[in-house]
Amino acid sequence: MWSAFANPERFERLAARLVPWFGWGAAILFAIGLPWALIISPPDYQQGDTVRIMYVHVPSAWLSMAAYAGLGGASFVYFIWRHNIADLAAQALAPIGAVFAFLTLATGSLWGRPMWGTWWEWDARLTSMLVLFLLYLGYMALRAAIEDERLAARAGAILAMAGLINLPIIKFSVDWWNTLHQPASVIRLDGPTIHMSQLWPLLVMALAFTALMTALVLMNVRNMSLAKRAEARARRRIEGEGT
Amino acid sequence: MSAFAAVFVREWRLAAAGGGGPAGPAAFMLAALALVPLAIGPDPDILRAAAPGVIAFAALLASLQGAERLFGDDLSDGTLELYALSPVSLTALSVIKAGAYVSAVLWPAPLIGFVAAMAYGMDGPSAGALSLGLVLALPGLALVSGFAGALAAGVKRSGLLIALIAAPLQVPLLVFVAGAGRAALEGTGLAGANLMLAGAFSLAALALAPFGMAAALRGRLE
Amino acid sequence: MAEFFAMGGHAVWVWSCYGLSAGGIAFLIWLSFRQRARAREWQKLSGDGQP
Repeated sequence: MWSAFANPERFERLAARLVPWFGWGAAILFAIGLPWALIISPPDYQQGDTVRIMYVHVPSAWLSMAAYAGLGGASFVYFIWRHNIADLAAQALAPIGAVFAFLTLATGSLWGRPMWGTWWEWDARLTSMLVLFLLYLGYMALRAAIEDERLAARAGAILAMAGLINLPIIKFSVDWWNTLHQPASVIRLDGPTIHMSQLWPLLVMALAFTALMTALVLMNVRNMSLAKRAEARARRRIEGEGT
Repeated sequence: MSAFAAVFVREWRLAAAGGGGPAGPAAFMLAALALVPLAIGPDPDILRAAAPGVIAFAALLASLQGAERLFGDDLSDGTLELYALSPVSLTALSVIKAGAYVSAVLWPAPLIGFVAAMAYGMDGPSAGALSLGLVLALPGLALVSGFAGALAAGVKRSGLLIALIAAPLQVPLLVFVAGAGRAALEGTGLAGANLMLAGAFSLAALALAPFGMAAALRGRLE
Repeated sequence: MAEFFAMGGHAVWVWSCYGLSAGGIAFLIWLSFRQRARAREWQKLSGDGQP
């Protein structure tokens, strides 16, 4: 199954066809989701209008985690089968995941100010997200530090797989830390109280974010692949002229 | 003497002698722990409450100090290529390196941790629990630092990169070691659970990290 | 309209979150288009005009 995507030209053609679908799909979903989230959905009886932050905070969190799962998965495929497209996918996913992790932290902080009265609460999920953000930074720093491209890809793949294995353990340890030492007075953001009138716009927004990320990843992988092959051709040509 | 034992002896001697051996990380940890009270003030209550976390954190930082040298030197002078040709596999070499790093370089950390815990006003049993936590966590800390060191081997000024890679992966150990000390201090009865979790993390790291290190090194040698 | 922008007195928090998210997404889209420009540049250098 993977070999179908391993051929760069075939992947490029497929991606070129899929990008507009996901791109316009994302645009349409945003056109539905944004008014729904900002106008139609009712304010929360406890949180008032700040609950609308949830419609960008939760999709960001979901994407940052999905992107890391994708990063680990793509790294695994690259590591085992050496398919360059998988490495390009990992390379494309890292900055996107990092940006969404940062957005999750920033919107979480801005949500916390009116809800908890503090900019930052050492709440288990925000702290895990902070560690996830650091994992993304470490991955990108490692790739940037190694000059040889294949070596960087390999080292990055190993680190991403290790991070993916360790992530549930980190999550567990942070939850453990939090339940042991946190006074229980913190207002929980989650809980079973999410109402249907909030769930639907949340789903639409999450889909919109996901479609957008898919479009960007496909587009980046395609362009990186095109650039790589064109670069190789250009080098061959220059070397040919030189002799 | 088997090849495994011979390599371990060599690595142990090199680790103990080169770059000051255990003195470097130990001095670093001591300095860090001596400065903390100057930073947060001499209030005994605050110091006692902060002690488990601060000490675990200092040990984590100390474990990162030598990680750069763990594989970097062997890669630059070609020793690693000879190892790759030897009957000792790169996976076994990774275990040896981490073991030598713990037993020759990092071993003072639990002792310093114990003394510092007493100096910060923790009672004896709690300081002992914290110190035991450090003993259990050291293999894990060394393996994760070594993993980051193997990935960053050959990179110029890799120290900062290693810290950025290893620190988030070491979060669970930090939580469990500090948690053991704090649970003992507060008498919540969870010190044992924290200690077991720290040991479990070290075991899991022992089962997985050597393969990661070997894979990273193999890439370097190709 | 003014009521909509006031967000029940939480305007600062809600709009700064949406603004930040829009900024982050715009940054990612900019990165993607920069990558596309780079790919085109290499294709020009490599000598085949096709996009």
